[in-house]
Amino acid sequence: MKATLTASNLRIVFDGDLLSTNVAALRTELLAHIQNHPEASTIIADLSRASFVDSQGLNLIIALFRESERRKVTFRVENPGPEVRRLLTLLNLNERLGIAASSLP
Amino acid sequence: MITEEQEMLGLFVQEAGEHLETLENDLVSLEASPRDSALLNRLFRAIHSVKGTAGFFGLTAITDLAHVMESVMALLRDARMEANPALINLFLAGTDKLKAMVADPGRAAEISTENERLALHALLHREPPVAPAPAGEPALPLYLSAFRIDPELVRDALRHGRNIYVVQIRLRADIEVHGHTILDYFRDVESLGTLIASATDTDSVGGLVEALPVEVKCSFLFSTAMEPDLLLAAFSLSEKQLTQVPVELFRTWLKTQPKLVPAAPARPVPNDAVAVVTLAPSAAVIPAGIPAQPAAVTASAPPEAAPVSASTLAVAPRAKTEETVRISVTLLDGLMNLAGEMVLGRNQLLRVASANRDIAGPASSGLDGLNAIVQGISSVTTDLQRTIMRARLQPVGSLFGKFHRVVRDLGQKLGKDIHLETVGDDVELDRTLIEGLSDPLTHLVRNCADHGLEPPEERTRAGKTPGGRVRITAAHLAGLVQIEVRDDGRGLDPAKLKSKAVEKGLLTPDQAARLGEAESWQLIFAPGFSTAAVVSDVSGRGVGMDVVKTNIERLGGRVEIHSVLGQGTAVIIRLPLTLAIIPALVVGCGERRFAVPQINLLEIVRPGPDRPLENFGGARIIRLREELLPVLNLSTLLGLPDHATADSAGFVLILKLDERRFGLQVQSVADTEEIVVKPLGRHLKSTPLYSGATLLGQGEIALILDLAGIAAGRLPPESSSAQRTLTRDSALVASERVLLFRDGTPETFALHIANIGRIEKITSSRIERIGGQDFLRQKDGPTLRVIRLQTHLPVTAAPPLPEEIHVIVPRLVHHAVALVAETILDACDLPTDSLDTDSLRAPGVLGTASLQGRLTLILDLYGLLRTAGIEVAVPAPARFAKLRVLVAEDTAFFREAVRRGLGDLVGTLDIARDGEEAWQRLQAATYDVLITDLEMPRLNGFDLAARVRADPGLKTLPIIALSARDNADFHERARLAGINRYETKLDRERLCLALAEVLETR
Repeated sequence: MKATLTASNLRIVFDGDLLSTNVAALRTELLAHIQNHPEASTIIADLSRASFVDSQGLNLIIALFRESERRKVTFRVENPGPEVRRLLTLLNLNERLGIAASSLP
Repeated sequence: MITEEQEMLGLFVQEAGEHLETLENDLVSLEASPRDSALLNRLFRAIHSVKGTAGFFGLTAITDLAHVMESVMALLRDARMEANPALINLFLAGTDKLKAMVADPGRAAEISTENERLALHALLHREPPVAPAPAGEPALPLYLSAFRIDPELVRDALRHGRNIYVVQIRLRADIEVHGHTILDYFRDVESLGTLIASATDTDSVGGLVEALPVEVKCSFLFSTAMEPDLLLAAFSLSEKQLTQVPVELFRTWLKTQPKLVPAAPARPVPNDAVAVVTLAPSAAVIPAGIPAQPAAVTASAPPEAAPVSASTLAVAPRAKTEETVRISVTLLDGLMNLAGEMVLGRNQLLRVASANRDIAGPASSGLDGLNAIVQGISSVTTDLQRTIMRARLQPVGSLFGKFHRVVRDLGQKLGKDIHLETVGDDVELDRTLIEGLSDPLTHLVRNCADHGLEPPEERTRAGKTPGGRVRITAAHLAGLVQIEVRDDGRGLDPAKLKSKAVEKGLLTPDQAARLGEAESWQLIFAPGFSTAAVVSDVSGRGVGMDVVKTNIERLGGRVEIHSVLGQGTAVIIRLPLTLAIIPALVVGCGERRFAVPQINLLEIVRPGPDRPLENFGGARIIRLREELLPVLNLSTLLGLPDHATADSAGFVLILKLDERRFGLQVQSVADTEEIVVKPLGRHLKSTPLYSGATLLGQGEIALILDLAGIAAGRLPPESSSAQRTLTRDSALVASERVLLFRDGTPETFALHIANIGRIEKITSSRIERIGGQDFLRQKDGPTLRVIRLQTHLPVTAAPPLPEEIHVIVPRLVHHAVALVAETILDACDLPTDSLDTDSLRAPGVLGTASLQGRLTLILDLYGLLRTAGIEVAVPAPARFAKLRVLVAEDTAFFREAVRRGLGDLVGTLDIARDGEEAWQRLQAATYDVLITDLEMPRLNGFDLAARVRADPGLKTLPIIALSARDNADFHERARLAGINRYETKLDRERLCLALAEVLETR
């Protein structure tokens, strides 16, 4: 996972799939990045390298979204692969997670 | 000739009948859940369908009643009225009338429905007018508020008459745990209908600081043509997860929604599933990899513009719905027959292929291909046969369903609150069995309601809930289907059952007293037996349980009963899955093959020198573990050249038919096979010996033996049905069986069969006299000392022996002796306490009894041998002389045998008549050893032993069990009860050894 702060936008790029097997580690890492950058006003979850998200991965994305709400910062998912995008859309999470039409591949 | 209209009318009768069945069952369920919208909708649809199709045929009498029922049902469905028991009664009455009319549409108009119609009309007019929903106000209930609903999708669903549901799922538990991905799941959903909207619960997830929840909950709104039960099955959902939205709700709501402009290109869509459909013509917006939607949509796109790749097509919607068609039973049976024919053809093909291979040898590579094809055909044929078999199976739920109404009506009639629960409705059984089960199960359920369950006040007094419970369970059990009907009522009272049996003359008071608890339950299966104090129109007419048993056995099943007094009764039925294919033993007589249903087969024994077939009273018998069973010879029965005349030839199948057991001698035993039962041709139908025919694996035809037909009139006369029932589990009867014979004198003698090793027919010239004693030399055994009763007992002197005589070689005496029995008369039961020990006192005679109208001398074998100067060596140490022995034995014969056997050897011998008396004696006096029978009235030997072991003062008392039964189960039970030794009755020597041994180890 890589986190970069540009103009108060904290972009977090996930290295691969978000699965029940790795969400615990990812959660710890995510929390560390957010705590290291309290100045960020937007958190962007970049899913360009995640081709698959299972229910636990989904929980992690929702938790990140809720964490952002709690910190009163904007949150959005960018560059989801087709499968992930479809998943979020089917579950009616696309708007809430700020997936814009421009993020279509 | 049947016209098309008649054919359609026939279909109407069938379909409407099914709708009315649904209606009836659902009405009963509605009483418990009057607001269940799915149920209300189903009810409405059922009555609506009946009305619609009846209207098509111009059956106005049916339409009129159905119409008014439908109108009232609509009020219920739209929550403008609530169902109550009175209304349900009214609907049920209407349903009954409809059933009668539908069953005979031609005479429907003759059935008066005025009362039902008037009552329902009155309800319609009482209903207050409905206030229209205020304009502009959202008319959807709260549970739909989470969805952003596209009115167009709803309109479309309503226009096509689809149902709309809210489905709640957990992404992990309902999808991933079953090995699916979430996307796969939604692909399936979309293949079954249209996803209108979805909503995911994000509120239950905290931030990153908290631990992540395990589940993500999601719900979706979905339209489909499927009925709720199918949908539940398709999605593997529980009923709680599915809510059907009443269409009226949406109708009202749609009135407040603007209609969509047809060409709206940028219509907001709730999700991608819809987006794909609407945007399909535009290649630019379809993301690669998104599965295509139904063919009708993608086909409308120009080919060159269609972005659907081959791989996408591969994941195109899969039709998951299992469509059903009606099929006539005749057609199904025809298919089954054809499959049987095909098996025959397959077998012949296999044989020919194998023969060719053998001729051509291994070098014939050309045949390899043919063999592979034959193997392929063989495997397909087997699959085909199995599949057709499955098509004949139906879920038992179709049968269980009707009992809700039965129980409800009975409850009302009897003033009892009865709750019926059915479990395992989806267990499948052959349709023939389901039909055959209907009457027996109805009897059982009615019995539970009427006899089994107590009135509410009696239940309350007994500390139970006022409402009684009846539970019908179906389950698969080791290749059989087990159906249990259980109630939590008063249970069967053995004392009442016995007194009723005595009152009805089914048992003598003495027989009744000897019955154990489980045996007394069996009494209810006796014809004419009924425990109901009051004969009602519900049950208690003295017919029922015997019919139940007969019917179940006719279906190849068995019935068991268990009861706990005050807690309830369970009747357990075990049935084969099908009657079309049964496991059978293939046996042979000469070249012919016959199939014997495995369900009747207990064991196979091989007669031989150690177990010969014997002649008793003109009948052939075989002795099997102290029981004498009649034996029939199959070749003789069928008039075939007799291949098994020799008593030691062939095999004897030990068969069970009702309560009877008998042997069937056959020449050879081939194998067990699952046989396909085929009906007999007309020319063989009148033969009572066969129940059907079958094709064997080798393609041979084998007739299936009808054992009831074979046994009819050929077995020795049976005692009454009740007594038969009693004897089944009672070894006492076997243990008191005696052989009647004469020794050339007018006196009749009886020897207990447990004392008989074998009976031989010899020529009297073989008896040699040496030193004033008679001897018989044997080829393969020791020389036997021959004893003539007239020499040693006070009986009439006999004339010289005729040429042909019998000798009885006793067992349990450990001496080579034989008793002369000039004529063997019969074997019969020695009734309990019929032994008279006073009238004739003599060494070698236990006493007298009147058997078969003759005064009979019951022999004391040990006494007789002593009288004959053969001192049976008994290992009786000197200290036996001080021994105080208590014997518990309920049978006079054995009491006397023990008295004679031990009386002279031990210091004190007290004999109690049952376990209870023995227990009282143990409290009053001190004994060194207890010898007990196991099966006794009041208190049996196992319980007596357990009581002794639990008593601090008696717990070390040595206990020896004496039983006529020598089976592993009894040995184990005896060991668990704390019994030290287990010995067979009448073996005096072993009993003495056992006595010495237990005293040694004390």
